[in-house]
Amino acid sequence: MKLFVIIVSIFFFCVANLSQAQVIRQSGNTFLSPDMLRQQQDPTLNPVSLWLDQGQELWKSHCQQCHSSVSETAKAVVHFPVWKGVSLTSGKLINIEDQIADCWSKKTGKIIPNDASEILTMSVFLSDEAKGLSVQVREPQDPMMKKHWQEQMNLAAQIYVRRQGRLNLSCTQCHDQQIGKNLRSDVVSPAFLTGFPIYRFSWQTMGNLDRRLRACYSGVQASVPASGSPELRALELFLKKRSEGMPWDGPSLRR
Amino acid sequence: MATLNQHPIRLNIIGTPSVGKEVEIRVLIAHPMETGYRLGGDGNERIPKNIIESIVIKFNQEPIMIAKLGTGIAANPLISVFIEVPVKGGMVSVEWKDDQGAQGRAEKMLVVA
Repeated sequence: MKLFVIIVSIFFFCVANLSQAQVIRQSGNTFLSPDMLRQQQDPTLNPVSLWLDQGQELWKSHCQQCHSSVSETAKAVVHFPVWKGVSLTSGKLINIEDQIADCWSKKTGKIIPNDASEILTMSVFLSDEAKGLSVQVREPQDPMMKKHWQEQMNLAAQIYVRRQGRLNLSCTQCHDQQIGKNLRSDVVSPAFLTGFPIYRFSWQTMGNLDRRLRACYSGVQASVPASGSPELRALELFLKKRSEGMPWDGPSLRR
Repeated sequence: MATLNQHPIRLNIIGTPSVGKEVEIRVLIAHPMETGYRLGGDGNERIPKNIIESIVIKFNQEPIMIAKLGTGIAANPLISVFIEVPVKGGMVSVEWKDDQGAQGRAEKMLVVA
């Protein structure tokens, strides 16, 4: 009888571990309530469509002269973040918002922060155009750049499993091991990066990935990195690499 | 900032507009709907109140719905009204005004099928 209990418990232990080891590649949309999914799919209900209207105007007035085709330009969305620059001192990872802000400053001659409303709007617009494309991170060809790029990837992989904050939690403990369970009143989804920027009802507005990651840091009561810091860019690269091959969902609705 | 239209608006008529049937008029307005209670910046200053005060939906210039909104309404309000499609179609329009003087309008033709 005792042996039987031991065998059964070993069996359940293995099954439990097996289910933990397999992370099913699911988009965050899988975890939305039917009501929210309906709201996201219907442009007459979805508040993101207001940003798309703004983006359309902005594209016509500021971007169209150089980038003639929206769909061609939007293809880059699924490749970011990319390594820019050769050396470690001058080079860095940049994401789509950094790229738009850089382009904006070159054109207007005014430096603009990468979380300004124009940049966010344009990011939403391009993200929507990139819907359905497969996420594919671009490795740099140059060996020196590749080395720095890989270092950033390794750094992010370490951050992802590092316990931090007063709650002493790492990303992986929730976003790999507790998927589908409730965290407060929300369902924990796996860390796949397929639908940003997001309209969050708790923010009452759109926000970029930096804002979302910073909310996670503050949620575990860790020191929050500044918006646009290299740590957040490295994490973005890691998450995008994790999501490689998944379809891009475009700007999404979250609670 | 000046480069962006701060208050885009979407007016949609949902459903088949055949006489006697119901259609839904859906209005989505970009507006922050600041309550005036939130603290901004360094946490010492209140973000000033900024609320849409009235929304009027008109059919052929005739008001069919007047709404007074308050601080309980979330940002980017979504208002929807059901109307019976009249024998002749007409122009559906919506006008809104907030407490800081900003306003907007949109209109759409209701063509009877």
